[in-house]
Amino acid sequence: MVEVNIIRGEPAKLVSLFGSGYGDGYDYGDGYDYGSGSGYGSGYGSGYGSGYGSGYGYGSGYGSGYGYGSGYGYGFGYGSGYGYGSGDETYWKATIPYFAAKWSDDQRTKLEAAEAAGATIAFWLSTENGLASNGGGPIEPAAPGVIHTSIGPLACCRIGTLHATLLPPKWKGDRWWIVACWGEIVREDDKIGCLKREILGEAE
Amino acid sequence: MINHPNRSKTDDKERAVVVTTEHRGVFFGYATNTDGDVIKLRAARNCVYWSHGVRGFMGLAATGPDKASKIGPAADIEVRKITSIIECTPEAIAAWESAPWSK
Repeated sequence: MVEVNIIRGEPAKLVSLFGSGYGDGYDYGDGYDYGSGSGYGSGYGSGYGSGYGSGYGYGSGYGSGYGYGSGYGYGFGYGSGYGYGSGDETYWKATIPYFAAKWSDDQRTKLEAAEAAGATIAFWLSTENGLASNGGGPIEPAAPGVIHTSIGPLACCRIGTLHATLLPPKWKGDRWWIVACWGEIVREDDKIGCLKREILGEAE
Repeated sequence: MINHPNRSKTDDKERAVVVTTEHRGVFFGYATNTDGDVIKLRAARNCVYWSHGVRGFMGLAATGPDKASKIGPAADIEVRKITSIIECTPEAIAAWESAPWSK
């Protein structure tokens, strides 16, 4: 493994931060034991015979035994993991110019106008066909210039509110769109709720 | 002013680093100053996902993202609530720079 220079931070503590990532480790132990027993027995017998030369005999014996054993086991484990992080809103907001640079002049003008008018610029994710991929009712498929409206009530995670986010990796969707949320908005964590959402362009 | 080597401050030298945050953000970028609560990252890229093959987030500074990783586009940002800053190896820098943006 290549060594790296840690400028700041304590890696051991950091590992637990990435709860969204995880490590799969397994361990097993193979224990075995062995026992050895020893037994001993003794028997005795006696016989007698008559003169005619027949005889019989009997004998009995008994024995007892004991054993002992000890065992030990060993095991090992290893883990590997993957992780993910959604980053933060500052970063994703800062990527908007990167995506907008691929748009038409008309689209970029609309973005600038929306920002100047105070609209909240955010991301919205759709299916390949431009439909909602994180719940929600039927809507016009997303495309630049399409405007979605709703009657409310305005509340995050409620029917009647349109949604957007500034942490797009947290959500499902084949296509990412940059949208303008017009008018009053509500926030809950990374979620943004609004009643009018304009599709400005695709983030690709 | 003569650019004498003894007068140059290491703080002014831009370094490629991986920065992690309390919000589980994992960013690659270039920083000239890594002190303080807020650091500026030029051409920062967010690692949205890294695979087993990277061997943990520190592997992102050691060898960089692999093909299975998902990396956001470059943006200039300020990073807050920093939990670690790790200097990248040349191998990692090359991997970050060549990684395409992927959802």
